Amino acid sequence: MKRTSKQWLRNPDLYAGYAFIFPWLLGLFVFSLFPIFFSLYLSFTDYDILSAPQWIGFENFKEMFTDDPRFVKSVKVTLLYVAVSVPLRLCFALAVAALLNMKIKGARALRSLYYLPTLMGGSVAVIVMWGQLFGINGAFNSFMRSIFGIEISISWITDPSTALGSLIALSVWQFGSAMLIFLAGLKQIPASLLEAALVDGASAAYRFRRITLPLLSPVIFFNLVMGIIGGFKVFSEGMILTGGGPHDQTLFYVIYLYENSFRFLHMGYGSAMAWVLLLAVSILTALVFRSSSLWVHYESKGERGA
Amino acid sequence: MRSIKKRYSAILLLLAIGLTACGGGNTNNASTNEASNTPKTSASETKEASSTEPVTIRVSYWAGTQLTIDAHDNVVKLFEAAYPNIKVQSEYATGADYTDKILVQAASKDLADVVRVDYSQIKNYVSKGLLKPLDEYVVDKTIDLEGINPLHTDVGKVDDKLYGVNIGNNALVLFYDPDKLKEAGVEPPSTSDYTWEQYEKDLQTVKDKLGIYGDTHFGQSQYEIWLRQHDAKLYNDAQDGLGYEDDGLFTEFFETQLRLQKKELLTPVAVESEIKALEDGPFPKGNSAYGGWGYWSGSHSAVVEKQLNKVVGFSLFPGPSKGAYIKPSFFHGISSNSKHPKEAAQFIEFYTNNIEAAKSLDGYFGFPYNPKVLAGVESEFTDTQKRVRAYLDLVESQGSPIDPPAPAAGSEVSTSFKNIASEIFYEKLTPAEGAKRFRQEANKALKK
Amino acid sequence: MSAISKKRWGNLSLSAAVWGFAIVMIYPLLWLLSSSLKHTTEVYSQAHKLIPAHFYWENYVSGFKGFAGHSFFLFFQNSLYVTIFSVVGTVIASTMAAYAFARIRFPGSTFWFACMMLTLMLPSEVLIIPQYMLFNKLNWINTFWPLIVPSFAGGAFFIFLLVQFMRGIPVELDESARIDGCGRILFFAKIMLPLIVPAIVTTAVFKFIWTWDDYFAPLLYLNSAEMATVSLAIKSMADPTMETDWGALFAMSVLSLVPVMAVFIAFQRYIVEGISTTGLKG
Repeated sequence: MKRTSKQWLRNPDLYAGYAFIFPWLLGLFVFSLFPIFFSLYLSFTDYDILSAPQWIGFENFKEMFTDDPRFVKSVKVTLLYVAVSVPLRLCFALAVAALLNMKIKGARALRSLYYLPTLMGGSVAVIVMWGQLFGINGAFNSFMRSIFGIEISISWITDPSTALGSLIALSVWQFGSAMLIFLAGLKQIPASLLEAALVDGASAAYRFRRITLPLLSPVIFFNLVMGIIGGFKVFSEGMILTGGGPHDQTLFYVIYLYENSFRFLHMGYGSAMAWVLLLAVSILTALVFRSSSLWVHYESKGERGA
Repeated sequence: MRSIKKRYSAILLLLAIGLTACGGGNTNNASTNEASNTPKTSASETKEASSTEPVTIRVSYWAGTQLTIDAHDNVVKLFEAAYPNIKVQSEYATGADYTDKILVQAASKDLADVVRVDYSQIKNYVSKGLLKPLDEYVVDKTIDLEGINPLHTDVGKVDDKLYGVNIGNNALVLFYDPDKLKEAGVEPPSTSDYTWEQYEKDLQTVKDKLGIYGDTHFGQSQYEIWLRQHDAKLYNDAQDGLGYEDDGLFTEFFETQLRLQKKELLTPVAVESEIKALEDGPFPKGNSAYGGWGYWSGSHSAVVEKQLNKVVGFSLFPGPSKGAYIKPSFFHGISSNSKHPKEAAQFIEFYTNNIEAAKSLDGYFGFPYNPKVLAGVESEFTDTQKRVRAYLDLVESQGSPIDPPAPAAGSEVSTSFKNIASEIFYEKLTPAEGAKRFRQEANKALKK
Repeated sequence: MSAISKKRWGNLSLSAAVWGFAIVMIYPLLWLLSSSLKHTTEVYSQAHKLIPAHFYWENYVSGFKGFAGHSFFLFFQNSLYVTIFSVVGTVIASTMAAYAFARIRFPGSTFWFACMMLTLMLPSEVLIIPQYMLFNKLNWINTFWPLIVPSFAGGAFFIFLLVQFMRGIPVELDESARIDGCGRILFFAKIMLPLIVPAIVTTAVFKFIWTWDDYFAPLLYLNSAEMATVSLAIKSMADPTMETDWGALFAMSVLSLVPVMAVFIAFQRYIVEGISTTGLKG
């Protein structure tokens, strides 16, 4: 036993590893650990922010799962949002990245143009703008009227039947970040491999499927995982544009969590919701990580390339 | 390998630029840090500050926009000139951000010395021990409330102790466009006993003659007026349930709205749902004859008149006039963690009663109510402000006192109301079903 | 139609589609620009018009004046200061941690990696209160420290991103480097870093944009007007329930986009013109 621990201590990787993660680890301990455990504690309390938390055991969790229709609604809305928007955005970002990676005239200008919506993010101005684009008398509806002669009088973002769909479309439209990461990944693929395949007479589709995709898989994996996590945590887009309305049609999980915490002053309940989300997302993410050995190709594990 | 080196040196260069930039910034930060830390050290040193020792107080306020920030800043300058030993550090945030910020500060017992609290929050804040009672400062005249109609100051009392000093008065108003009414041949709403029947008739005439919408849908604030017109309240006295037994009140209110909606007398819900700003509403854009959207007489009148570029009419909402009420726009309170309550009280006094301060604020956060202040600023009133004053007088004479502040669960009840109203207007829910669900949801929230 | 012209037609229509779509993507910016040149009373009433009736440049003047006696020049300075520091801190710490997770098999690495992923999953909304308590205890309220110092611990998002990129670098490189007698630090600095420049620049660009745009942390931690960042200042220009100088607001929104766009345009070539191919050949 003693010998193994000594061996363990003599492992140079131990020191190198901890030296490299030291800044991050220090930050975790100093800035994150207390807030994280404090919120875990709060999830078992009744805490209205203004007075001391009261321990109530599992009451918050019990209420969530047995007596809160809005919680159920927020789960449904969020699941639908994630299920549709994450794969769509991923495919879209990948397709555009692959396109922009080709030698098209003005590719550099195009990259900037395509990234713009993401740059503009969620500023006040953008909110007003979306209303103008997809409002009743917005640009989209008048476009449909003048080009196709279709009369539409739907306020896309605020109508109960289209609000969630519009938010999903918006999230797909802001694919810039994922696209940029894909582009960076594409650039890392050695041109020599693709050239070799080209010489062998492989078709473009074949090259993309057999060379590009496998070599890009670590980055696809990243975008998928972050897409899932980000999707479940979606907040600002909804908060800014719809505030969860009309009548809870876009009540994302975190919007409801925030509403509980800072509007209704049920911070304990909000914290409990946060930890339920953490549990659910971590299970899902763990499954994705598990599946990665089937489809993600890492150079560093020693597998040889395609 | 050469190109690697090239890129590498590029990165090094980048880092070097970054570091020099940091170096420059560092000194900058050190100075700002010092500046911002001074108040903290001085705060602990001057615990029993006499009124001549230098003191810094923090004042947090709910800012509208640049305009209000500048106005407030001007008051601070005047105050600092009058009290050279007191420095004021102002903090502001707009809209819901202010609530968030105050909550976070309250949780850390880090509230500013002077905080601005809304009528709907004051009871909750007091019950959590966040505010100091101000009575001693009123007694020793640090805050001088003499000669003021108690109607305007008693609203800041909780359990017979004063916790908030009213910043200014406000009242909900039904605007109307006199030109449009004239064109349609409709009489302006009468100043008392403007009935719901007449309102509906007028909307119809406006639509028939001008082909425009009459008004927008009514929401919770108008519902509360409606309840008051029927001698009812939204919350019962114990605030653990709704304040009315008859769901018919709810049903009738929404049936009226639905009827108007079906006759196309109200702006479509879809259009209303797109309103993103005060200036964005159908009334300020000149698309409807009446503006009953929930405008407040205070700051909103000037914006609406500016946007329409014309004089607008002020009216009470339809129904018995007793439904109307005057609301304090905001309160000034002193946080219980304040180390300089005396100086904080001096600031509140200055803000409330100084004539120059009142001139600078220009009634933006509510109308002055102290007769002395009114006399001092009267000569500088704009025409809009004269109309606001006349309207507030009307409300005071015809209305009735404001309902008690909402309980802590009030925002939950409001959310429920808003959702149900939306479902009713989109015709997913009948008013009768809505009434039942509202009672059930509201009572559940209130019993918590 | 010959095969070649068919292909050319395909390319042409593809280009047309790509450029046509780009117009859709850029529309918001044009709209923003046009709104910033409209008179405040026209911003809403003339919202559908892309070209303002009169070009109202005064918006930029009145907006830049700022408020409480502080002009936007100061807010830009504050923002730059916070952002540059955060970017530098994030890049250094994230790259280091990522290297450890991607390439060093040290005891506990899986555990810490899992911890890191977990911190990504907890909604930050519930951490606001305890974080504020912490910074309040440190006496950091109303200083830039709460906005800067945590960046020097890196960011989980970026660490994960960099890990994925490093894992795409052939492991043979490590081995050959070791044979050459190249130590870990040297390998990290001389070989790994240059190879993942696209990912590092991506990290820097993202962190720059996110820090620049963030207004919630500045809102919580900065109290005095002279400390405000651009995003916070712009946020306090608007309140939907109060009178707003929309023209000035849009003008400042346009200005606040300038540094972000400049950074993106200046650095995008490092992202997309990766060096790995040439590097590997050399």
